[in-house]
Amino acid sequence: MKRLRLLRWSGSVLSPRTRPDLSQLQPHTFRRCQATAAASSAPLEEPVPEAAGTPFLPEEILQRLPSPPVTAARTSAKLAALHARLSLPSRLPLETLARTLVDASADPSIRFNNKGFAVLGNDLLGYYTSEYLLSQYPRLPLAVVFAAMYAYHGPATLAAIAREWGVEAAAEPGGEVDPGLLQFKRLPSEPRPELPHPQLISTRQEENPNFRRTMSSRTVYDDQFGEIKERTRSAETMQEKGATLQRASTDFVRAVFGAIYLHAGRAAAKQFYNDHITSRQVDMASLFHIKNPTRDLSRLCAREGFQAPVAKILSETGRKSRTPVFVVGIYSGSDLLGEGAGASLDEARTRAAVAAMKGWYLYSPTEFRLPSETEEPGARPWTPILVDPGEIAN
Amino acid sequence: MVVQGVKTVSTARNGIGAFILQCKRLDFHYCDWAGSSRGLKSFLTSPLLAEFTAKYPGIEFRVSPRPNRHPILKAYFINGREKAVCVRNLEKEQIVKKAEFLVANSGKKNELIRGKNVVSVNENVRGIWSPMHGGIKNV
Amino acid sequence: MSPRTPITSQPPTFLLPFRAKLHQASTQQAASPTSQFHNTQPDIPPTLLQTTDATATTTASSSITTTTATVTEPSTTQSLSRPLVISRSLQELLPKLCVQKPHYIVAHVHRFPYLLTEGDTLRLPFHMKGVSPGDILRFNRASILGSRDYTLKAGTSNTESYDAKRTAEPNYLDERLFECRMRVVGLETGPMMDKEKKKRRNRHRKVVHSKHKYTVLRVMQIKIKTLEELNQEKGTLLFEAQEVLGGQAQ
Repeated sequence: MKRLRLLRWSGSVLSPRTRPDLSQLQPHTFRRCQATAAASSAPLEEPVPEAAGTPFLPEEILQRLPSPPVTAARTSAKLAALHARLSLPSRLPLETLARTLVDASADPSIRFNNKGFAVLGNDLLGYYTSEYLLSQYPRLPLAVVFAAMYAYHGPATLAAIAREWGVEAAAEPGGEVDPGLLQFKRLPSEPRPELPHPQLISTRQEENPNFRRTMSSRTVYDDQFGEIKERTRSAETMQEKGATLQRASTDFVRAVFGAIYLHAGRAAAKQFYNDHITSRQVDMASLFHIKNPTRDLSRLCAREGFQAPVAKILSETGRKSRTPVFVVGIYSGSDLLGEGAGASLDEARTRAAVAAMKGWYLYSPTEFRLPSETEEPGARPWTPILVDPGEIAN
Repeated sequence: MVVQGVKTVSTARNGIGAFILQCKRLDFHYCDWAGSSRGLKSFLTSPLLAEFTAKYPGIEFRVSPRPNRHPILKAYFINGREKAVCVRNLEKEQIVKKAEFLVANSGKKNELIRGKNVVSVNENVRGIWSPMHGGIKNV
Repeated sequence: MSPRTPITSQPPTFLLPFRAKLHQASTQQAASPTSQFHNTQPDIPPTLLQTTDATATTTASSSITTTTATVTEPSTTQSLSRPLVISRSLQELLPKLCVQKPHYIVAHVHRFPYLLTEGDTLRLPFHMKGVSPGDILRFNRASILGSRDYTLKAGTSNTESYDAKRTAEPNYLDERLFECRMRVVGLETGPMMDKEKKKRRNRHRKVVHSKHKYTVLRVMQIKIKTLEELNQEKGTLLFEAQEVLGGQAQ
């Protein structure tokens, strides 16, 4: 696989930042001490010789800045504590961590906000999660893949992660704010939307009845979670409208991933991903919502060449009573596919069919390797993994 | 539309991958005049403070006077709660112990838990016993 | 949709045990499931199944069933100096136990048993001294390791006396067989408890306050070592020879 030359294209992300309008005000230009050696990629102004004085800027200058100056990062206790709390690699400097905390709604300049890092971090998260899901559960249907991606690194989860990291939000962004606080311009409070956000990922979308949003179209047009991509808003509207806390903390967590990848490399980013995302718990069986399990099961058996499924009562109690319990097993030939208990025969049969469908979809190989593991030096060559023929069509 | 996905949020399990200390900020409040702050002031001027702060780099430490009050340690936790411990008339070694306790605390309310030592969110490994399976006796 | 012939290289896909272990009764041997239901003895919990089998090892304390392998190691403390003996039944069943996940362990701290799975939170009934949050401990005393269908137990030594069975030091598995890692998460306290002490015909009353501290741990990892991993520990491993065991059995 051809690798991207990171040093080329990340030059603008890693290069020292100076605000053009404020360059004469800065007492000294910050120079990164890092081994990624990105500074040579762009023609840059010569570093200003170290000016005598404190890293603190006067108040009136600070209040004109949209986000804290770069020099403030070294003096922030909150920022240093956050760096240590996440046990970030020492190659990730505090200044970059401070930059990941600045949302695009606080500082529209792309050289000072976390936009670039967040885009990279989002792609990294999508890559790692999807390869993990597809290797571990090769038969997962697409809607459940979307749901699992959402559960692992969707906006709600990332906002929860930011909260669990102990990141606080500033009331209002500005140059005088502590750089250890998450800075974004808050949206003016709006009445809550009347319709609740759809909690099911399914084919149809109600807004336009003429256009049927199928699962396949989602893979092409939509984002990692099967949701409609937001229109790329221009910087002015971002600055005017602001962001919600969830959106800002989502972008912050993504930006941390991107920053780790750029500064400390692929292995550190993977390790950070394993520590913070893979260690979270998702019950994969609870992500399914099957509408017609018995019908789907018979189609599945027909497709796979099994004998047609037959439901049989395994045991029952209290048929004539107020609370009967039936245990129904679904057999294909002599093989028990699934089993369920219910208060009526229909309910028990449906549950058994759901169990059988989940047993099929949640197949997981005993040992699996991830494609990204072959990127490490000295890794064994890649052996092909199971690719499923696909989910059951309608 | 065979299978639909349900949107959920994964639950954190702190300590399995990364471990994040739940205390994020610790305040030392002392009074310059009163005698009950003597221990805390000697702690703040001793090398014990530097040792303590170096041991916990993930915590933001603040030292501030609080005149005409007893000295306290106040810890702020990630879950949004805070706990304060009064350290009046305590020696500096005792204060270190109090601070260590606050740092290690999870910030939850103190609750009486009787006999439930293991809390699990996993599915039962061996399944749940069912009276409907096997060995059903007919009367 | 046309019915396809099932892929022959794979085992019958529905019968792979990975999902079945959690949701339904196990059908992995491709036997008739109804016969399996009736095979199990419902009156005794499966961990306690102690049937005398043809392949039972010589010591009276250990026995083996189809699901239970037993290691006779009297105590963990002495066991590091002596080689780890892996009986024939263990050689046979350990790979199956390793492969079937998830696992559980009955780990002992100060002789008290705790049934743990990965990700559980354990609140010890005492304040463990000398640990700070973030430390990783390794539990080396366990009496039972298990998965859905397989159980590895340390044999019981005192079976004759009822009291000895309840109060005596239990037998532990050899600590080289598994790795159980715990993360020290923090220190919790119970609420302040007040107990009033009062004697009759005496107006003096005393209130005793108590507030206990408890160390909280989280299970990071439960790993049962495979035979290959045990092989790599040089000089500690002794495989029970086949013919010797064949002579001993029966």
